[in-house]
Amino acid sequence: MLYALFIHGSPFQTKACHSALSFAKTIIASKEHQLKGVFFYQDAVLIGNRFNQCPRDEFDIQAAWQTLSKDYGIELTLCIAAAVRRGIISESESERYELESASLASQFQLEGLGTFVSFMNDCDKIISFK
Amino acid sequence: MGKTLIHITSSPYTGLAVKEALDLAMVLATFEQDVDLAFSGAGIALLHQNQSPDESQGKALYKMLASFEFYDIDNLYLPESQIPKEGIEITSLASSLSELEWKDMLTRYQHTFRF
Repeated sequence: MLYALFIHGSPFQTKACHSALSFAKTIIASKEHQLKGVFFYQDAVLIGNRFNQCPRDEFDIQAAWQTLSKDYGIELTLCIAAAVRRGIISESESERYELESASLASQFQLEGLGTFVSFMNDCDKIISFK
Repeated sequence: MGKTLIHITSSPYTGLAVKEALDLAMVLATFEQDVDLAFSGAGIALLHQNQSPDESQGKALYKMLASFEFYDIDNLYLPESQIPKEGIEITSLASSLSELEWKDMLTRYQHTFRF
């Protein structure tokens, strides 16, 4: 079965990104299921801020997603409208808004909700994490 | 592809959840997906008539409801049991469902997203 994950919950105020990570790992480990991609919406986009500094003695959820994306080629997409309003800015958006720098962390990309609609059309199941 | 339900349970004025739920509904509709909206709990506040939020309280999201017909979003549901009792009118754009109809409605969708 082909899955996509839809994460809404803030990485700081909820465990949505953590639960989704363990769900993603389970899909990847299974033989009969595949993960198409992960779409972050609402406050979940805060996970893509490269300026986040996780205290050294705490679990770094951003790094965990980046590693998963690198190791298994999983696309991590942040909703561009949700991200930009929260200060998660890619190089191209930084130029467009004439800002001094970009804040998007590596392995994450900004795309419109249309990308999520194509996940809905392509996948057997969308699982939400709130 | 099956129908999608956006179920709004958050208040329109406590955060961005409702704004971002309506944005999702409109994008889905723009991509010609079949979308219905359901409201319960604090989410019903979006259906109240005669709201006048000021700028600091957020955009007047209830005004978006009237534009939904242009996106072919025609079905807005709320449970009959949660209609406010006195002094508050609910927009005529929404239809109230009996408990049985509400439960039946919730089972009709391939995707349900709750905000």
